[in-house]
Amino acid sequence: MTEINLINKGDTSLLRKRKTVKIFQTSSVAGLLIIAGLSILVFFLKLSSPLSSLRAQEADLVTQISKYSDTIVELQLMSQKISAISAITNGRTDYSKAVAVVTGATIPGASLGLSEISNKEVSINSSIISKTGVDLNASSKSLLSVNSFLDDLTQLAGKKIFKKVILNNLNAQPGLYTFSVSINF
Amino acid sequence: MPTKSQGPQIDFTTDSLRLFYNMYREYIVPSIIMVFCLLLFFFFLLPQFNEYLAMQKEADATRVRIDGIKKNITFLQNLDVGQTDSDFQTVSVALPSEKDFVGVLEAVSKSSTNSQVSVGDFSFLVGDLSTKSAQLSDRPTLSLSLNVNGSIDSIKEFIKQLSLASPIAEVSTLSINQGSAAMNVAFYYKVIPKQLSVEYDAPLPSPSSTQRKLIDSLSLWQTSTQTASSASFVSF
Repeated sequence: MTEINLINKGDTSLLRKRKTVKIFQTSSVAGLLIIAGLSILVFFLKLSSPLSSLRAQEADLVTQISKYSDTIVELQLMSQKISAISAITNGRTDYSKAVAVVTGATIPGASLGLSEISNKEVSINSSIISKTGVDLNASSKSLLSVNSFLDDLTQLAGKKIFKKVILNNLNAQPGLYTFSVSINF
Repeated sequence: MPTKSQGPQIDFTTDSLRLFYNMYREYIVPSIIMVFCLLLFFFFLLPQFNEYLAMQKEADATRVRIDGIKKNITFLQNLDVGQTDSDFQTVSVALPSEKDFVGVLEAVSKSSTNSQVSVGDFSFLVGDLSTKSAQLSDRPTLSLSLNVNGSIDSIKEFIKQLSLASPIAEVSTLSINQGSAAMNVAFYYKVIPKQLSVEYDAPLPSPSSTQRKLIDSLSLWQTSTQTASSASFVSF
């Protein structure tokens, strides 16, 4: 039995075309409306922004505070200078240890100094004290005294009073021993 | 003469364009509107919205600055201006803006008087103030090389007195001999930048308790210096 399709195929494609056109038209109008709505929204958002009033308030306050400009500069300079002074005073070298070694006095923080034999029999000819330590040129008539002096220094180094004790040179002449020592703090 | 092997050719004549328009007339106008909407969105609406966001950000930053300025105004209104001027003067004497030869001589003089040492030869290592290194250096110094005569205890006391003196000083090298010492002393100063930017909203610095003690001790030394300075020059 032969089936006869009564629906017109041409009409279906026409309907589909109309539907597509309608979607196109609706979308374009909706897009236009959305853009218009968003534009109005952004316009009012920008209009309601407090930025201009805040800027005016800031300008007013700057006018008020500018009367104190000199005091502000004074405070800032004082702060910079006092910080620099603090840094300088905190970073100063303490010469008391070095002076104690040179003069044979009791070394601060160690409760002891050079032994009696070192003090009496070793004479310090010259000493240069700097931030890093002290360079000594000393002499003695006895090699035993030189040894005692160096022993005293190495003992103090062992007690962390000094970081390093370096014997730079030792010269022996008839009846006189001269030597040079660098002590690092 | 055209050959048949060249393939199909598109003919953009007026008739074909008219035919195309008649066929797709319903689609063309909505398409143009949608393209227009997209262009509006990307080239107008989006930049406007970004501008709004930037305005909000700027408004927040302005509020913070306003708060800072208000706090500073309150701080300045309650500030003891006399005390601040006095502190500034004290600190400026302790760390002058340039090489202060008179201040250095007064400091040495006062220290020698207080420690009972006599000052022998001395010489300034001045250098050039106008060089960029002096201006850019964080802590430029005026070096003084001097010899002092006295007992070891007096020399120690002299070094201690120098550490309390204004301008701020530091003994950089020291050579001790019997009854005398040669030393290099660095007197600090701080060059003020030519252009100071004043930020009204930045928190204003006020001395901490430690800094207050330091200012007081500097002030104490300077006060005693002023009273004794004229007499102490005799020791030179």
